Amino acid sequence: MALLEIEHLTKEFDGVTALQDVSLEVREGEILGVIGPNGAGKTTLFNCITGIFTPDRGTIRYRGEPIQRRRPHEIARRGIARTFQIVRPFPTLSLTDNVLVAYGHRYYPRLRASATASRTQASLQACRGLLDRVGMPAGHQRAAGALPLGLKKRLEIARALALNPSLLLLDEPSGGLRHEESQELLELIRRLNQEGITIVLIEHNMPIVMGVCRRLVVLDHGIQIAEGDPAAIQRKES
Amino acid sequence: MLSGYVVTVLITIGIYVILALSLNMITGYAGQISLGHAAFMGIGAYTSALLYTRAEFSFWPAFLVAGLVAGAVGAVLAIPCLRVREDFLAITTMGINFVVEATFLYVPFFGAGMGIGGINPPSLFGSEISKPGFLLLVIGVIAAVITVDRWLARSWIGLAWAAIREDEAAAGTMGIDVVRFKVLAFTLGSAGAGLAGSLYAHFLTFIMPVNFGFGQSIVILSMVVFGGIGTLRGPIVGAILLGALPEFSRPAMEYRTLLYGILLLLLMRYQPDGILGERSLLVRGWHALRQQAAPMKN
Repeated sequence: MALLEIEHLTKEFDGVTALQDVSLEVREGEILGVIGPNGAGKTTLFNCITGIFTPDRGTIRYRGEPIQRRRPHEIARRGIARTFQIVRPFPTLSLTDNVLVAYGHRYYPRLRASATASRTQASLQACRGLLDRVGMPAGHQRAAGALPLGLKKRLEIARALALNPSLLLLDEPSGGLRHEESQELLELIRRLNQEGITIVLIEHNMPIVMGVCRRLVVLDHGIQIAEGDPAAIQRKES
Repeated sequence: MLSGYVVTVLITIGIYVILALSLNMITGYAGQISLGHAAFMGIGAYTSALLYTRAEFSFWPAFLVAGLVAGAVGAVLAIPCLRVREDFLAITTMGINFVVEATFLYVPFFGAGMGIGGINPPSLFGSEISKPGFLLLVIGVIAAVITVDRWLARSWIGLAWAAIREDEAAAGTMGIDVVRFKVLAFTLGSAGAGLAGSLYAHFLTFIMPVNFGFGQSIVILSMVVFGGIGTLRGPIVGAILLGALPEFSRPAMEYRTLLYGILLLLLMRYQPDGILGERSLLVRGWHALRQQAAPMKN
């Protein structure tokens, strides 16, 4: 069953087509890889799914509901979480507060609820639990801006998990990481998927893509040029 | 006993503390630069003055309505501000200040260039409160604003504001309705400015459009930035120091705007977080001292 269905998605910027007539589906429980050269429109695809950009044409359905005109917070509250290609944790906030911001999604919709105390024992414990879940070493009171890249990426995943997502969009999680760090991340992605989270992965690191993805979508210049199982696509490429 | 002059200065500084704390909610906590805060002080002052002089309201309800009206206008004017960020937001809020000041200046209903006079100080149990009494009132309002400030900082609202300040797009993907929380910041901050404006009107007993011009907005912003934007102590200390400065030296009064300009430039260069911001020399020094002292205690 498709968790996310994208049909004829087109997005243009000042006459430049970033995505052209892209149609794909994300099936419940899978890890779908999105690959393609720089400028292929991969991140634009994520930005359209998460409501940062409004598509010019086409539909995006999540659990059957069209979401292409919804705003980012409405999409996040429906259970779609993401990380960013250029990591962007809230730099002056502590690690716990970074996760807490996303954990608060259940309080933000109502003014009265959002006026209640945020740092309760229960919420802090939940956030520490999420930081542990992604393998963040101790020292949760540090400012996020000072973290090394590998940990920033983990923090972003912890933050995304605080939304309790059904669908997690990871934008080049291994970009800029050392080999061992990438391997650890690969394990984390696998584990999250086993825990029931459907994942869409933008990635340049082919061993990671081949290691975890059961299906691939290939984009080039905003056009979807291939879709299928990784081995078949690799054969076609070579 | 404090002399009448000292009390007058303390009341003025107290009103600036309220203004600085309320601007800090918008600019410090939610990260939305505003160069038009004096407009909302003016809206509060004029609301209170008109209700008092023409509708025969007593001070107390006029004071509360001034806060509500300024907050409501803040919410409405936040809407054009939502589509712009940073430099453009600065220009938009500055524009709002000019429009509001011009409205007071050219619309006869608002007394035009003559302003509004005959606003009396508040009365309590049938008699007008004295100047020290007024000072106590101002301190009471400051205490209330600080209470609200602390409560907001501990709530999800404070956290949502911090997220918007740091990265608006990321905040949206964390489930934060960016528009709603920005409007909330402008509403609460403007309401605070409205209350300060009402106190100002009933303290001075007459108001003129020039009291609420762009220059006044810059003075308030300077206090927030000087003390340490985004903290509670910063705006309070900034308002006290910069508010007291002109009283200590006449030239400082005459060249106030120039002096504040130079001060801001120096701060941007050497202490961008203000004198009491998290990364300022004083606060880092204080933390270092405490760390050194801690082992000695054990």
